[in-house]
This record gives sequence, structure tokens and C-alpha cells, in this order.
Amino acid sequence: MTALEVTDLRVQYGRGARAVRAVDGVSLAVPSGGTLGLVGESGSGKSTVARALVGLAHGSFQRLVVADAEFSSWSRPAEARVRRHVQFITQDPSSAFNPRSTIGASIAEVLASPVRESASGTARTPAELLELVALDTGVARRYPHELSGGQLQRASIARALAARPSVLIADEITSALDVGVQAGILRLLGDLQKELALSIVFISHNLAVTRHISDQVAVMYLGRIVEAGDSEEVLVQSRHPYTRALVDSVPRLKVGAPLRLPIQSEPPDPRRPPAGCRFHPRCPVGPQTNPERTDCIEHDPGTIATSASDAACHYASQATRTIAAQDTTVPG
Amino acid sequence: MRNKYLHALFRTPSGAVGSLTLLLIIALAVVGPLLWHDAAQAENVTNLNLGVSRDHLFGTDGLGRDVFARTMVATRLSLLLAVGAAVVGAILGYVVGIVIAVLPAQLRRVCLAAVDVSLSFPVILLAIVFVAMFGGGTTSTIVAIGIAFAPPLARLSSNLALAESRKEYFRIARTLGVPTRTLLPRYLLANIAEPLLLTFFYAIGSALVAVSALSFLGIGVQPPSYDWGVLLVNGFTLLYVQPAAALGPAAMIVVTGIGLALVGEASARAANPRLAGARRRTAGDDAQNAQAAAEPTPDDPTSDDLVLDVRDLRVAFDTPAGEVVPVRGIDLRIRKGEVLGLVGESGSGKSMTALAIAGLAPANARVTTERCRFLGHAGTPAGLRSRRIGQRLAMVFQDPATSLNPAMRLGTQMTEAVRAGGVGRREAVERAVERLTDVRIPAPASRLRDFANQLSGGQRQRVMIAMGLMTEPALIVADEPTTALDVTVQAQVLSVLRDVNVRSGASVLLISHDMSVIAQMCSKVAVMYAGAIVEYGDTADVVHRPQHPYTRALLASVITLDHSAESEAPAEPGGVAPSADGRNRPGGCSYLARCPIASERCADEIPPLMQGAAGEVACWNMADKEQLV
Repeated sequence: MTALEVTDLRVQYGRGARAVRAVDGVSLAVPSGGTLGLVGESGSGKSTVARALVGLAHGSFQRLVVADAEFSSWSRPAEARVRRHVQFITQDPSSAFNPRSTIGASIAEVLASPVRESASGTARTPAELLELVALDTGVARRYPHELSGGQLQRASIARALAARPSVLIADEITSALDVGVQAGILRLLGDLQKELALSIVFISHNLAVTRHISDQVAVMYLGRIVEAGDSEEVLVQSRHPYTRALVDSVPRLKVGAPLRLPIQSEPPDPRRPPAGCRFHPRCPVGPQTNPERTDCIEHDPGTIATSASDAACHYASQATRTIAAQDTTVPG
Repeated sequence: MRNKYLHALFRTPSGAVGSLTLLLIIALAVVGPLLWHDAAQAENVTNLNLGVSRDHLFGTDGLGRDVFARTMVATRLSLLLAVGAAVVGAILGYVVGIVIAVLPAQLRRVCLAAVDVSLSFPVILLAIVFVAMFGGGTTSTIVAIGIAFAPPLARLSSNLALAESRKEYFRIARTLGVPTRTLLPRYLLANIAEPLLLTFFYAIGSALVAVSALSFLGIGVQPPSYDWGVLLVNGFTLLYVQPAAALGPAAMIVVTGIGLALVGEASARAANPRLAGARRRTAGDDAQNAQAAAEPTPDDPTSDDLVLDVRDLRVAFDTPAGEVVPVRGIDLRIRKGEVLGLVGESGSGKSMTALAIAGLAPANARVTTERCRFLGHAGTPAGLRSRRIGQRLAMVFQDPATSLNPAMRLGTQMTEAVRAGGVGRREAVERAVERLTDVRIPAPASRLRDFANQLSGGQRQRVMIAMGLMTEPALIVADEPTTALDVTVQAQVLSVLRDVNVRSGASVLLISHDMSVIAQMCSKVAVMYAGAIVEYGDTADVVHRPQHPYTRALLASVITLDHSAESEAPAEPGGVAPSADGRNRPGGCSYLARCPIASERCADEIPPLMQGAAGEVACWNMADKEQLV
């Protein structure tokens, strides 16, 4: 069963020669009660996917399924369905609240919203919601600028929960936080998921955090999904060279470990994606190092669906590597 | 609520002065006609055009009437006209502006163009046209000036509303299903109320001038009614003989205008919950500059391989609420070629430490050191920085987008400093190309002609490093240089930094919140907590055998790629760190409230950095304590 599913999502910014296909045919399915992680460099389109799914970016799709209702284009019913079931949390909680309203008032507005009237179950109060995210109920009387980043992000989650969603889209929600605070938010998200049977789309550039929280992972590059599957499979036994490069770039908490530099170049201009495989100019196993691999330049390996458990690479290796066991000892 | 607003209004001196002035004017408007009506009407043919005297403060006019009394009486009409015109203008302008802002894009563009066209006519000209259309008199003056004032107010409010409706929280509120009837007043209006209120008060002031101008021209208020403008024109004819008759009403116009502007500003401040509570910061005495003049002392032979030797560095700010101390006495010693990591949470004071060392602390900061030596030269950080030796310290900031000048070619920016130091143009350009090559920027010679916006984030950060290398630095202070970058680009920037360190022998002070980055890059680590260093030692010791409970908690909360979904959840340190203003700072150890192994002594005595089994630790209860350093 899937809580949210979209087929062939496309988002384009601008027109003509300056047009950017920020999302270029993405198909993803969020398992009910599970977490789908979406990773990639900045500019890969992962945040645009999130914004398109909640209607903040104008996208087109072949099929959108929200809580068992199917739509073939954006329409008022589709929008209403999304509003009712899908909620969105952003990276910077300080810009997500009305600076002139108290936290309590911001949450109360969502509770009073007419969209919620059809929602099932008993309505919660702002105080209950704040308790749910482990905040002091006194926070309700405070203004956004009086709270710390971690507290605000918790309040942001509480406000999203006020809408009683079945799917939560979390866009880089821990990126701006200290590691200790991040750990707290991730634990909270895990607890809430169990308690409220939430399905979560977790968008992050941090592969370690994504691995920790996700059941499934999709890796995006230049508007497409290049590898998808179970999170262990994708991040530990990566098949796409891009995923491998991402994983290898992450610094290890291990003193004396060599600094790895899997990719020398930076992402290309998204307005002019390279022909053939979009990753070929940067690929460590592509035509740059293996000149005989001309198909990477000539043939586009395309994009894949998250349900496919596959990699969009002509030379995708099958389970070729595992992360070397780390001998780091971290006292708890 | 209302009291809070008034309180905030009177909090600042300008608000208080403005409010009192305005209250006085309003009181005059109320009682003026009652008190002075008879005096203002009394004609006295023996007293024509008298000068200033005790009986006639502003002299008398051509009919022998007391100008002071007439000025006081005219306050009511002048004020009513001005407020009336401003209200008409504001209602018209703000409503039109906000309606335009929520229109569909096509229609909005047409309406804005129409508003822009009407903006090209001077307000007073429009007012004259409208008065001509409506005929003179009090009501038509109000309406005419109101209409003439509407276009600029409409343009302003539509700009503000448009900007506000594009903000993140506004969009999110929409996705959360907040209805439009809540969105418009509480999200749009509330957030643009401040500038609108401010411009409304200014509009009253301008309307006062406009009303007076129309009356002055004889097409505004018609006799026998009179406002300040009418009095002004009457007095004007005898300006050189009897100036008080014109200057009196003119002074009233000016004083009222200033009062309105002051109140406008103060009430806008009071309406903003963020500013209402904020107290103004006062600049502390600039100890930095005072000490900067100190003479350099001769080189110290004992600190040969010490690039930087700072003892007891403190950074403090004076605020009306008390002293805020983000850095509370830390020692930093960086050897030649060493990469020292400074790690801690946000708010731990690590960035302020970096800025202070680089002599870049804010002007109102008090930076003090017991000792500060850079390459053997002693002085204050800011003093050293301003001397020639200061060029050998390079700084790399977190945000590469804002640290390069967007209006200057990279070549000019890179060569600026060395050319000021006397290096020739050709040599400077050659050096710039060399440095760009060092940081692996492709086609460096042609890059010099580019602007910052033509570079990607990672390239900008590498250009920043190249720029720092132009002066052959002995120390590079890098404050979170890769935090804003992708992991792939982070790896590139870190490897460039490592390269530079190895090749040029420059020492690096790397500030980061990321323990993994520190572990890969640094030979020594200092862990900062609440403005102090709590643990210092070889990276391997600190990362693999941490002694301070805070270092342990910090490491335990790091999520690495080795954490699978099944693995144990990362620990989160409970509680919050004491803030720099010392409000929630305990008497003893600053980590006390969060510490799992605290004992009685920790509450009474601040632990200094002590020699541990390996490295130095500021904890009374560390595992293998040996002796005081």
C-alpha cells in the first residue's frame, strides 16, 4: 500500500533557451507508514519534487495517488486532497512562521481551517500538539523569534500535525541544526511515525542521516532519479557510480582516514544537461576514464521509479561494494 | 495590549518627544479656538502690522488682529485638513495597492503601470487640478489632496504586499489550509503594517504642507476660514518688515511635521513585536583601538615555531541588559604547519573567536588578551591585523556567496591587496593565475575577467582561498568553509585546503560544527563550550578517547554512514547551553546542568583546563586526571 504516489512528475522553470527542467520525469511511491529518503546534491531537484507535491511549484504528472484517490492532473479536488493529507516542513523554521503571530495562534489557525473539518478523529489543541513534539506548552504564547532553531523546528512539526496529515514531507529539516538538536528531531520524527502511522518523505543532502531514518532511498541527479531501492542496498551496496561517489565523499569520523575525492568537477549547468547519460562528464567509471564506454555519451539511461530498485546506469554494478567496517569507537 | 503599545511608543527618546509634541498640538487644536477665538477676531485699527511685543507674540496683521491668537485658532482647521486628506489618501491608496497585489499577474501588471503613470505627476500639481475640478473650500481640499496622495501610497502598499505574499510562511500557510479571510489581515496586513503606519504619519505631515501650499496659493481654504497656510500668505507680504507674522505659522507647520515623523517611526517600532521588546545596543568603549596603538615588542625567541599564541582571549559586549561575553578567556597556540580544529555547537563562541583573532570582531566588541603574538610580533589582534604582518593572516568565511564583491572582476579583487603592498600589476596577475591553479580552478587566466556570480558555490570558496593565498599567509582562519556546500564539493574544498597546508606550510585554524570534517583534517582539536575550551588535544585522542562529558555527548550525537536504521539511535545531549549573557549560567562548571557525572565541586568551582591522560580537559571528574597544567 502506498500513501502517496506520483508518476512522471515534471517541473519546468522559465521558457525557451533559458528553461530549466528542475524535475524531469520523476516517479516515486511513499510506502504507507514508511519513510522514503530523497538525496542528491543541491540543484538535483529534490526540493522541487517536494514543493511540486504540495502544489508550491507548478508541476505536471501522469498520475497522482493521494490516500487511495487517483488524479491525472492538478485540479481543485486534487489540490484539496493534497491539502488534506500531505503536509510540508521546510529547512528554515524561522521563515516558516508568521513573525506577527504567537506559535499558539499559528497552530490554532490550522486547527480552525475549514479544510480540517472533514478530518477524522478528535481534534487536538495547540497545547496537546506542543506536548506531542516534546515542547513546553508555554511555547504557545511565544513569538517565533523568541525560540531556538530546534524549538522552532519542533513547533513547525506540531503545526504540520495540526492538519492531521497522513504524509509528511520533510525538506532538509535538520540541515540548519546542531548535531545534538538534529538527533532529537530525528528521534521525534521516528516516534511520531510509529504513534500516528505517518508516511514520511525525508529530503536531505546528508546521506548518513538519510540512511539512519529511511526505509527506502532514491538518489536524484539533475532532475532525475538515478538509483532507488532499500536504503541499505542503495547506500551500502550502491550500484550507480554517482551514489558511490556521494557515499565516498562523506567524511568519516575516523582520524587519519584518507581524504577521498571521488569527483573532481562540479555539477553541470542544469539548463544544458549533458547528452547521453547526464553524469558522464563527472563519472569516475565513465568515458572520462574508460574511453571505450561511448554508450554513456550516446544513450540516455533514463530515469527510474522508486519502486524499481534499480540504477539508471549502463554499467551499474551488482552489489560491488560495501562500506568498509569502521573501527571508530564512540563512547555513548 | 494597548498599554504595551503605549509603553513601547514612549520607550525611545524620539518617540517620547514626538508624542509629547503631537499631544501638545492636538490639545491646542481642541482648546485653541475656545481660548483665543475672541482675541483672533478682535480688529484694532490702531495696531496695524505691529512687530513682536509682549502683548502680541507674533505681532499683528493688516487688520490689527493678533497673529499668535490666529495661529493658535488655526491649529484645529490645519490639523483636521491634514489628517482628513491623509486618511482619504491612505484608505484609497492602501486598498487599491493591496487589491492590485492579489490580482492575477496579467491584470496586476496593467494596474501597476497605470499607477506608475500617475506617479510621474507631482502630488501638488495633481492636487491643484483636482481642486480646480471640485471648486475651492475645505471639503474639496481634503478630497483633492487625498486623491493626489493615493498613487504613491498604492504603489508602496502593493510592493510590500506582493513581497510578503511571496514569503515562505505565507505560502506554507496556504498549504496548511489557512483561509484567505485570515491570510489577508493577519499575514499580509499585520506584516506590512509597520511601513504603512510610518508612511501614514509622514503622509499627514506632507498633507499639512500640501494644504498650507494650496491655501497659500489662494485655492485651498477660503476666507473668512483660515488655516496656517492662509496666515502664512497674509504674513508673507510683510516678510521683511514684520517677519514674525509669517514665521509663527511656518514654525507651527514645521514642528507639527517633525512631531508626526517621530511618532510615525516610534509607533511603527511599537507595532513590531520583534522591535518592541528589543533594547538598543550601545557601543562599548573600543579597547581594541586603544590598545592597537601600542608599540610592537621585539621578537620572542622562545615562540619560534608558534605562528599564533593567544592567551586569555575574551570578547565581551556591553548591552543595557548587562554584559554579554561570547568568549570567556581561551588560550590558542597554533604551530607552524599545524591544522587546529575548533569544534562546538552554534553559540559556543567559535566563530567569534575566529573573528577576534583575525581582528574582525564587531566595532562594539571589547576584545582583550593577556598575550597575543602573531609570528613573534606582539600586539592586539586588531592592531596586528592593521599592520603589514596582518596580511599574513587569511580568512575564509562560511558563505562564499556574500564574501566576494559582486560588482568587481575576480582579477581586480584578487590583486587589490598585493598591489596596494607595492607589487606590480603584471606580477600580481601572474601570482593570481598561479594561486587559482593551486586551488584547481580550470582556465584561471580567463577566469580573472569573470564576476563572482559566474562561479559556482564551490568555485567561489576556492577563489576565496586563492585570494587569501595571494599574500603568502602563515595562518588561514577558515570559519565553517564547507558548511554551505554539497558533500562532493566539500571534499574538493577540503582537499584544496589540505594541499595548501602541505605545500605552502601555512597553518590552518579550521572552525566547524562537524566532527567528521575535523577528524579528517586536523592534527589537534579544541572543543569549545559556552565560550570556553573544555578539551584540547591530538585529534585521535579527542575523537577516539574523549574525556570531557560534553565531548562525549557531542560525538555520540554524530550520525555517521555506519548508522543503519536498525542501529542504536544517536544520543542527544539534554538541556541547553548557557547563553553568553550569563542569564542561565551556573556558578561553577558551565556544563553542570547537562552533565551526567557532575559532583558537588562542579557547582562551586569552575574547572580550568587540566592535564588529562592525553591532552587537556576542563572537568573535575574526568577519567584519568593527573595534575593541574
